[in-house]
Amino acid sequence: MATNWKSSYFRYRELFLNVSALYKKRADLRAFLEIVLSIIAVIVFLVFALKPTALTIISLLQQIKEERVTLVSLTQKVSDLQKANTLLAQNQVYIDNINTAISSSPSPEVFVKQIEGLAAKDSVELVGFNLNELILLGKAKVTKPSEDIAPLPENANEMGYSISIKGNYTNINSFLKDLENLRVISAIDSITVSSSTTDAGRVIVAIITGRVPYLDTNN
Amino acid sequence: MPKNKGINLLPQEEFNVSTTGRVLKWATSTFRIIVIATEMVVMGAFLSRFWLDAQNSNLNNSIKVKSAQISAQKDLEQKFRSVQSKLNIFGKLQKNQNISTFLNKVTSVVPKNITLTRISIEGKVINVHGISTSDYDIGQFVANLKKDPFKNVDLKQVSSSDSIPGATEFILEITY
Repeated sequence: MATNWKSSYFRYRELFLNVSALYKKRADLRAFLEIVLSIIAVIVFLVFALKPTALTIISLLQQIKEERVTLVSLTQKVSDLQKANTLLAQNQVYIDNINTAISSSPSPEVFVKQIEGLAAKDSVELVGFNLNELILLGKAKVTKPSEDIAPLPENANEMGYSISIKGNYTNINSFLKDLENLRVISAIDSITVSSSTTDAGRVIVAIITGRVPYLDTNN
Repeated sequence: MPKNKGINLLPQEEFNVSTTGRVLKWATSTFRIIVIATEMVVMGAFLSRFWLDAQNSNLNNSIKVKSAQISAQKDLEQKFRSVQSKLNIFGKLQKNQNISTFLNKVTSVVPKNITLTRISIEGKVINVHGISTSDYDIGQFVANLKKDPFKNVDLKQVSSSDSIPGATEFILEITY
């Protein structure tokens, strides 16, 4: 076993010395070896150093590009928020009116008061006033909108109503106009004006149905 | 005067003067330059990576700061969006508040021999029920209604009145 190892050692040493002597003696061998070593060095650099670094750089550049876009958007948003703040401060006096026009929760009492006020103003008799079922407190039920009636803008919640009024046509017409221009806005879905003759004379009755929008900002 | 010419007295190796030798010599010196250039590129890449890392980190910090600013103004944004939505709802509904206008348009062109008993407006359709003592006036009423803003006027039903002898009851369907 030991002899085997030694013989191998001497054999390889002899080979190495031969190659070494040949390397020193022959200039062309030196040149080829240098070229081969240079190519190996370049390949090692390219594969193990440059490639991973280049990949990282590409990914970093992409990341930086995306982050720049995000930063521009965020800066724009911050600027917009500042403008919004200024606008809100400038129009603070109107905010209450806007909140009255479209409340954040169903406010039947406000609407009823306004309708009563209108009826008194236009000298019509409020025969009936009906409000649809609604949630006064808590989360509003999600109901499937009727196919016949167009949904309210911005998917606003609605408080349905039906008003019956009695009076002469001019007064009913003014009531309708005032209802359209009421501060608490409502979508008037239908109106029926009918006249009939009773013992008391000719009676004109109008039935107005509509929906008052409210926007639950917490949802 | 003859020019002095330098003479190399050292014996030249055969390899150095041969074509293969020259090519190989050129190739070795070129490859040395390539190796040095590659090393420089690798070093440049390493250094630029650090610079890009720093830039990335700065951008991340800026994004965090801006996000914090936006989060701090969340209530304001919600309030503003709510006001915007309300204004939008108000604007759209206000634009469609024209039932009284259509009602007036219908009633303003009623001939004198016609009495309207019922008007109903739903959606884009107006149904008008009336009684007339003159058939000509019904035609006149239809003709009057066939003007802007109404798109179509249909005489849906004509019958003799039970309540007023000699009078004609009619139903009109108007679309706008």
